[in-house]
Amino acid sequence: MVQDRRIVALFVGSISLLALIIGGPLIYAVMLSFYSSSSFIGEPQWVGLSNYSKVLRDPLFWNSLTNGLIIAISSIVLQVVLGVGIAMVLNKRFLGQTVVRAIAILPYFLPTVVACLVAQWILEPNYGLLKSALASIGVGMLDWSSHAFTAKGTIVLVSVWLWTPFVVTCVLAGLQTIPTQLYEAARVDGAGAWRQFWHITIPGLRSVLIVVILLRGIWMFNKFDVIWLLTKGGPLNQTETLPTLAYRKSFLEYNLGGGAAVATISFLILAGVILIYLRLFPIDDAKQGR
Amino acid sequence: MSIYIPGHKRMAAGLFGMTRRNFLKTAAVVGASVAAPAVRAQSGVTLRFLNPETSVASQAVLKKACDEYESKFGVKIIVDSTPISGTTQKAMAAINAGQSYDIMTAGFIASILQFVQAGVLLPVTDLVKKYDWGKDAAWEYEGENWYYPFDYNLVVNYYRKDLYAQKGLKVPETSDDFLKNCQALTVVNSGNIDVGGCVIPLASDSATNWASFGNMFAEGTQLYDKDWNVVLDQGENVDRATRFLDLYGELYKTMPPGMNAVGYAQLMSLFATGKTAHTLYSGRLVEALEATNPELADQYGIFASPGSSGQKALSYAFDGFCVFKTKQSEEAVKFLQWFVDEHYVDWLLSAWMNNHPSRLDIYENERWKSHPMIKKHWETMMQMKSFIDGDGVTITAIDTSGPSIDMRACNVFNANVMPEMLQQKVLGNTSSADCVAAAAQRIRSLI
Repeated sequence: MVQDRRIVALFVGSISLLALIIGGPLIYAVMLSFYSSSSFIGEPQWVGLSNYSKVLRDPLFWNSLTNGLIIAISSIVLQVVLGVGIAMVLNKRFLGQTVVRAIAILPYFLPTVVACLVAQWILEPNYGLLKSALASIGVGMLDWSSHAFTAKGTIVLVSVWLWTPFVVTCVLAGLQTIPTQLYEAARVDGAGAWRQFWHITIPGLRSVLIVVILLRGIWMFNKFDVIWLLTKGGPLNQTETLPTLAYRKSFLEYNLGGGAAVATISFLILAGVILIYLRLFPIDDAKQGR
Repeated sequence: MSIYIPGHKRMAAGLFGMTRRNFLKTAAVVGASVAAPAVRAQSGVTLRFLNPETSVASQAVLKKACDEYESKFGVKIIVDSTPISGTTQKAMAAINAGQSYDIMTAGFIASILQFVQAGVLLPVTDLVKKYDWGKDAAWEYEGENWYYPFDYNLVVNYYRKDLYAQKGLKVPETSDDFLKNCQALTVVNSGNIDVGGCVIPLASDSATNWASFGNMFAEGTQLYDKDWNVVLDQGENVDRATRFLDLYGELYKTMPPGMNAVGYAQLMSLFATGKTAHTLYSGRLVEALEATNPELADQYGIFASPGSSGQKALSYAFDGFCVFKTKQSEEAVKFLQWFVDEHYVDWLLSAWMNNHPSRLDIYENERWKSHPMIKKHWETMMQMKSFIDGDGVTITAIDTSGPSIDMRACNVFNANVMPEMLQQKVLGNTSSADCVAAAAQRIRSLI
């Protein structure tokens, strides 16, 4: 009985704390989106849905949403494909397996700002390492930050470099839970490597992949640091995404209501996509299926 | 409850094994420690100073001044030095938390106007009116001065005298001359620009807003009329702005790659490392050259941005001290008065070339003039002075454009309308006229 009370107390305490540190700012941000305010210290004016109307009529909002989706989807596809591939290699027994596993996870330990600075110094078009390497073979350096495709591509590549290890770690853990007898049985039945992968590995990883794709999707859609550090949304807003747009509006243009409206819409879009995703790929069913 | 500590006697029951006597003793000591700062604070005033000038030399001057002030007047000043990028937000957060700073060094006009409009700033008109100031340095808003200026950040064109001599070039009088010089000095190797003719930033940020529009202002381009109507795309302004964009398009071909990512630091480093023959910056670049490439510090020259018919203009920013309305405003004003009387020159010399004085009497101050670096770069300093006290050069900026100082021009600055006009021209391959029309339309939607 005493233990029950403790559990209830801990539960209520945790929920209250979460409500305070997550729910509080969330409600404040949503409320802010109904006000017009041009500074953090002025008196905000109630404007109702005006900020939403302005934001939804702004082509930059739709451009940012599209950019965010392109960057998020490209990064997730590459991270998952590479992550599963690398995890399968690391799941095999070979000499130095532990060392290679540790090295493979290293980029995940790098602070994002360090990774982005390293990337910038490699790709810097005047002094960068890549420029020197290309010059030594007589090839010119591309000004990556001036073209939409290369700027987006750089963000995707740096994201893949940084967070593929997360996918590797999760998938590696998932691979180790698949009984080896299944593969032995499949081999006896004459199944090749591809069929084993498709009919045993992928179903075995289903629950892991559902969670990994969900988490990576949320994180990439809300990604701010890499984009801001590498391109600040340029060139010509071609790498602007909803988080950078919300930041730009709130902290550079001091359009706090507009920034809050962008952030709220972004939150609603993400929440909607997550609901549909979980409806399509229920995690519990995946566990039972396995 | 008791705690066993090896080597000690088991303590008697009590809170965490403490006796009541020990507990009371500890509580008394802790209570006294906690109360001590409050007791000390009651004996004098403590002012809080938000300082975004984070160089070692600037902080040292502030520390020395604050220590001296405390020893003389018993007023403690806590200096919070923080990078300029987050200063405004930090000051606003402090106000919202009920812990406003008393003094702040400000460099963005938008920040000052936001504080004024929120009613949290104290005018320092009486202090400012005691002196003569350079052109547009001591601007007024609603009839008051809201900051005590100390420097200009004029965006001058730097050029390499040695390269000019090698190629037999002259300091450009018109934008055409400037373009020809840039083309003559561009070094291309295997299709890459190894040494750029010039660098004029392009990114959507404050560096581009600050630095890139000298040539546009030299053309006489107006963004607004006297009633704040947008006239960028009307009358003669269309031709002027179009001419400027055409020039920028040609100059862009002489720039090293990466202009879309060039900020304040790269404007200096590209010049200091010989990657460009011209760059744009304030006096800070001279300090950077002395620190990183002293040879080049003897081979640079400066000029104002030329227009197509030889008119000259410079974009600019400024820095100054603001006083917030707090319970201690009176003490803060007293400190500021004392500081500008006693340590203003020390402060200016802590960034000897970047702190290009806006107060005109400083140019006659013997101590300031006798600084070895001011002496060495006297010609440059006097040239910069001629820009701020003569009539030959227009001084204006994106955020000070318009008939008066106003938040509307600042909103255009903050929304990066003008940098995006440049990007449309050179990255979007849009015609100059269309770029101007789009920018004007955007400005209308903002103000």
